[in-house]
Amino acid sequence: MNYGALSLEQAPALDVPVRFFLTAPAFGMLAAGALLVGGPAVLSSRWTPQLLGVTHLLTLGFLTVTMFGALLQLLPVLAGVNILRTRLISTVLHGLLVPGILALGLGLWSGWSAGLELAVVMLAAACLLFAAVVLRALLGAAGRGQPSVVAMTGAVLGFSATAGLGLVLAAGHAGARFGILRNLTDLHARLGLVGWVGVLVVGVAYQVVPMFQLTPAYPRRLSTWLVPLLLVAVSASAVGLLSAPADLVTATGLAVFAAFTLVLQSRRRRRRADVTLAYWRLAVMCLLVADGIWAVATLLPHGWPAQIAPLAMGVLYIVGFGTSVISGMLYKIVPFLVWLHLQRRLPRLHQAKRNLPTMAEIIPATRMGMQFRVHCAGVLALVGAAFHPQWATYAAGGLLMAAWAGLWLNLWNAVRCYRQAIADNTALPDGA
Amino acid sequence: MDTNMERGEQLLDVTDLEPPEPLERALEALDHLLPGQYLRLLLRREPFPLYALLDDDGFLHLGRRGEGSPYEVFVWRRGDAVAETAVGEVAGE
Repeated sequence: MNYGALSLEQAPALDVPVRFFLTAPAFGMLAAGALLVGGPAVLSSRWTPQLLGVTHLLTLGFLTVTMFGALLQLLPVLAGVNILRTRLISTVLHGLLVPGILALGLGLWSGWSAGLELAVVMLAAACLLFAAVVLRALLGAAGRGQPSVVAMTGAVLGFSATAGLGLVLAAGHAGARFGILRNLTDLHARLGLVGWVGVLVVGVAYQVVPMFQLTPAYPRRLSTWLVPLLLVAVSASAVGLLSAPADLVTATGLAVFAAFTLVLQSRRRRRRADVTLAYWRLAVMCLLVADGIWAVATLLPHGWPAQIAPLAMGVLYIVGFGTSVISGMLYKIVPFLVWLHLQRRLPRLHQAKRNLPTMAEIIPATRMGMQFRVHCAGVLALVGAAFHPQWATYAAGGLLMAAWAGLWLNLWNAVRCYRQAIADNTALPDGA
Repeated sequence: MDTNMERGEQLLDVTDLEPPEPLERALEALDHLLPGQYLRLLLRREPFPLYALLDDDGFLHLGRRGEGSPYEVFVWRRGDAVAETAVGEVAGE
């Protein structure tokens, strides 16, 4: 069966996936803006309500929104999966997610309980819909034994558990009778960061790092065992079973993944500068540094201010690792979708001459490069702000605001390029 | 290989290109395909997104595990019996 053709036949119009991808940097800008409004007080501890709000604007608004959009769009190509009614499902999901995340962010920031109640209802519906649709598709996938499909299935299970716990916690913040179950917070964070974001990135990397960066494949043993190991370790640690060894396994597993990615990238077949490669490198290096901080904090529990290590690790993991991988991938996915949809909208059968942009013209490399440099500076400033909020919070907020505005603008220009090409080519005398 | 060229084979090796350059190069090459000719594409992996584009543009294809590359695809114009026969002979070897 030809799954690729099948996926294209039912591929939704360009605006359906792209609305997820344009939403992500917009939430990033909102988070950076919140950092500027709240100032150094936001980062004074891991537990400030403002930081909880900002964190969820990033983990849900930036990371999860993109991952939802990308999974729905790319599962058919990567895993030979058939998702029915992609357009309808994507539209409903996006419609639930955006107001739900806004209400959650604002509710956590300000303690607005009606907002939190609204968020719980909308996000519960979105998470249930997403998990049901994607799990059903993955379990019926032609390649369900492949490491990347196993990883995606594990990630969606990790997401479901994270979402369930998150909804209980949010209900507690909204004033539910059982209160805020604080002992669930760490569980929720670990499952979300490792079981959802980490496992999904690892699973996607198995496919896209060799494919886009022309590297050798990840070693078979690593790609078979890493994800199950991470999932078992994070689950064990989450329920308090052998927590210390389980944390060691998680940290080592992620470090091995990061190191292998860097080694494979150094052995790529085509040594051309590429912003996606640069973003992946930044991401895995941040992952290694986060691991390093974890190791120091674990070995020297009294030599490290207790609140700084989790904050610095969170910044490195969510912003340094998560948003960097996503930004790099968006720079591959969006131009490719624009190019592919143009080819399909304007087949050469009907037109002798077409004037379509090439992939390289859809988002110019110089603009992506400039945006990447601002992103790097923003990540660095935010890591600095985790250690010294007074010094670097405003710089971090300003730089990240500029970086994510630049990302949004670059992606938006790709959409404009698509519309322009359609207008130019349908205006030709022999246009279809 | 000479015999294949006599049969109208246009060989295009895109194994060292990153996606979607293989697709771009394949579509460019198809613009110059003459009657009786077919394109033999050498690739690193099966090019799923290409198939629907070929169908839209009026081409037929045959894909298989490659001999000199991980995957190869033969492409010819729909209705070109000469090219189709040549592909049948080469791919059936």
